[in-house]
Amino acid sequence: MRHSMQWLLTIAFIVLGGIFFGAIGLAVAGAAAGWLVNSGKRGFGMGASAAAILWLVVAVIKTIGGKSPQLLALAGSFANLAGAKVWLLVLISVLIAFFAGGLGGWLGGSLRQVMSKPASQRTM
Amino acid sequence: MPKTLKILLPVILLAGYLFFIYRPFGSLPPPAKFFDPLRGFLQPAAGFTHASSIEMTMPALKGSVKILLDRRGVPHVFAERAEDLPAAAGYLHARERLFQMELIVRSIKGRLAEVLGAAALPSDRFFLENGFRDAADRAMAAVDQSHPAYQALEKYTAGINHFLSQLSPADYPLEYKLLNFSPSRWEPQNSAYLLKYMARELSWHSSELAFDRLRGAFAPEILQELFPVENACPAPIYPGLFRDVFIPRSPAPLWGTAGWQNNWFQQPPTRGGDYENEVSHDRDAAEAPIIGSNNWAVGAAKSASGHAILANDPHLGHSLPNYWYEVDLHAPDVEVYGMTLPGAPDVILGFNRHIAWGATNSDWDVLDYYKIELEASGQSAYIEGRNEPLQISAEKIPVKGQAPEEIKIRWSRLGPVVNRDGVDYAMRWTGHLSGDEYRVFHDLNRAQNFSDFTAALRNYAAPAQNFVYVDRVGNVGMYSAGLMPIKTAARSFGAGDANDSTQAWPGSPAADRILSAMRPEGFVPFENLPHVFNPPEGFVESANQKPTPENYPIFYNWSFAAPYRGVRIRELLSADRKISLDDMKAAQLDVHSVVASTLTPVILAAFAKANVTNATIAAALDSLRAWDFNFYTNRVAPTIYHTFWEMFKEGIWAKHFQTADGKTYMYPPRRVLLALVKEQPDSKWFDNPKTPAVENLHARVREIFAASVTSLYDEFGADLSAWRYEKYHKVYADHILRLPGFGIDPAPRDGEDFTLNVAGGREVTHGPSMRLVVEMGDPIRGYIVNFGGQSGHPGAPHYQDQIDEWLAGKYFPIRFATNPQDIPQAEIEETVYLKPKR
Repeated sequence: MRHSMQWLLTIAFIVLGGIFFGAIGLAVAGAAAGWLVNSGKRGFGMGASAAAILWLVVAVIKTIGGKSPQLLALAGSFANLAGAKVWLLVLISVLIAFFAGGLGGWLGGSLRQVMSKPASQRTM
Repeated sequence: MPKTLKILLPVILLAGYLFFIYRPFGSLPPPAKFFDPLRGFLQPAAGFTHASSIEMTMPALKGSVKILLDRRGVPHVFAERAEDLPAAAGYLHARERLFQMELIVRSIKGRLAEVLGAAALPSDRFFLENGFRDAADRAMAAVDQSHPAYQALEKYTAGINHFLSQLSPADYPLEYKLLNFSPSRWEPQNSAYLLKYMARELSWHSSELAFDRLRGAFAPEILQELFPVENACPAPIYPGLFRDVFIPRSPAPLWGTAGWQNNWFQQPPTRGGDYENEVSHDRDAAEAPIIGSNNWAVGAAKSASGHAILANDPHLGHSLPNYWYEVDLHAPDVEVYGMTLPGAPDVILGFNRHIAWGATNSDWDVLDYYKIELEASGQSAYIEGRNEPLQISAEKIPVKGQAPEEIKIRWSRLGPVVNRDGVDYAMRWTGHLSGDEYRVFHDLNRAQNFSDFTAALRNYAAPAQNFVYVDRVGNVGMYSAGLMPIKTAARSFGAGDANDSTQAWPGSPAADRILSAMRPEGFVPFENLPHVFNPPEGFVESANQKPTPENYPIFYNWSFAAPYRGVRIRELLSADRKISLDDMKAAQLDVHSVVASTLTPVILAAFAKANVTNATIAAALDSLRAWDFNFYTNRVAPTIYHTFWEMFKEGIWAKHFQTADGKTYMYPPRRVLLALVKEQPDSKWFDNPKTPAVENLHARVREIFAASVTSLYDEFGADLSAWRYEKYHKVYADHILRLPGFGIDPAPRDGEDFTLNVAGGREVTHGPSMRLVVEMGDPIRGYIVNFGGQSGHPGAPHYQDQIDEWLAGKYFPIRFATNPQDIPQAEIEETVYLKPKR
């Protein structure tokens, strides 16, 4: 239950951050998710996967179900990619989101871990 | 892991990563922005697709405007008040063609390098140093701001800026995202920049420096023979002349058809000897630019329906988006349909309820160079014996990714001072003297008769055009409008000397002396420009050929576009029958070549007594024998003929006009070569100077024809069916920035250089930019097709949705509505309501 709530909040953060602020929003949302789960490792995983999935879903919707299916092919031809290779551009988009959300999640989780420890255990 | 590191590591990595993805990579945009699916390349620009209905408030409006966009994306605009039409046009242009408009304005302002980088610096330098921007600015500073045309420009500006004010970066056209910059705010003078850009496209042409170079290398007799003045044209635009129109009051020998062409080559060149010059190295400089056009019209008496009909297809460079944006504009005082240029509010070519008009380029020589001697400090120059100060301004051109480039812009009394290969010239160009042509089109849009039409053209300066006219009463006419400089013929055959007070240029004392009866500015008065109204033959036509017959007493150029399209139009319209709308369309698509019908028999005659043993050559000759001289894509003969013609021109002239070290001189015009073929088969010019034998025309034809067949054999193989024209002759159209993948795929193209459906060269990069035919009956009927489509957004549904029809020679019926109900609901793709602020 606790994990489900964490996932739900992570997704909410990522969606809001990504939609309104792009990659930097994904990073901030990832940080919030990391803070929520209190773990740098889990923060990375959850932030990265949520951000990547969000960008993938949006890209697929825009390409297949949206009003601009030609744009992916057009960008592909600009990059000298044809056929299924144009999806490499979507992959780049997904990777950008993955690392933005992931690094944000890592930072948020690590920050909370450090800050939540008693002062006596801190080495700083 | 130490706690400090536990925090610092992700902080550093995240900060570094964000820095990395939010910065551009060379010419590529920041990946975080470009690959963001909600804001980057996958997010379509505003206007990319059409919503079913939009409503918005536009503060600049005085009344409501309803816009119905049809299935081709053509807007049918209905405004409660005429003064609001320009605002609606501005909104639509910005929505559909924002980047195109920005690119043109930046070109003229010398601000391309700011967004494109150092590669665009030569263009920026060219436009600034040659005075385009300054001339437009000066013209705009001098306009009567109370004139309705200027007020329309302000409204138009407001419409564009209203669109911009609502545009978020996510909705920018794709090109802005690729280049990573934001759209610039529109200013009224941007419209003057656009028209200046078109003037450059159409009238920035001179062969003077090429002549100077020829005069340094060839004997005068040779030049007189091969570069004769085009006095007699087989089909001038105004064959009947206008003795009643032009009243010569000054001594003809000074600038007339006699007395000068026989001695000017004897004059010393402005520069002696051979020298490098990029302008004069153009071997095709003798021909007018490949940009041309056709227009023609029949009056009521010649029309099958009894209503006047007009046809126009302007030939421009093919690009996507195309120059033209089609509109249907309605308000209480004005109803007009036709093609606009994004960047200007009015219809440039089209019709209203009363008249229709079109245009072709007039190949007048309106660009003259005068060698100018600068004083040692470079601050002044010697003009007509006096040391006159120059206007010098320092300019910094911003360059993306590097320090600004500093240049100096110099103006003399004659015009901008430019350096061509180490020599300073002052240039005189009519385009520098104008800038308010938008006023002309504002008035044309509202003209109701020939008198209004000519009154509007009276203010027209550049680029000179042959304006064709028809009206609802059945009249037909043509008026060649623009500033026609009064000058001596020598000005077309070499640069003048700015320090010589006897040389004439517009406004100079010499020009005033020459034509004291004419306007002091030094241009032919409007009334004396070539024109005709209801000629006896019942039709008018122009195809960039020489406008006037030999008895027109003013010199305005030495050579014009080859007259063969004009010959063909006259052939089609002179037939003893009435002309219909369908005939007009068929004529626009005509691919019969008058030149091929002349030259092909020469090829066949050359082989008549020859023993042809090569089977491929024999088959190629058979193909030509069976040919009807139509350049259809499914024929083989056009490929053979075209290859031969290209190699023939080169084969005859290259040996004379190319030196061993690779330098090229201007070739004689094509009309000269064709005249030699027809009239002087034993001319010395057919001899190959590199062989001991003396060849004549037939010998060279056999030699070059065999070579051309060999080249086709090498390219396409032995089977002649593989030589079809569709394999050989294709149309190309790049995106205006030449972005890969944003243009069209090369497609088979019929026609050739001299067919009405013009398609010059093997790789066809120019031709009809649109085709329009309109019959001024009741109701007005017409057909139209645009090269490309309405939208300027690559990949958008209307970006190139008319290409297939254009290639297939198909048209779309024009729907010139009288009210919004005239547009069937099924035809409406989008409705836009623009409302004033209450």
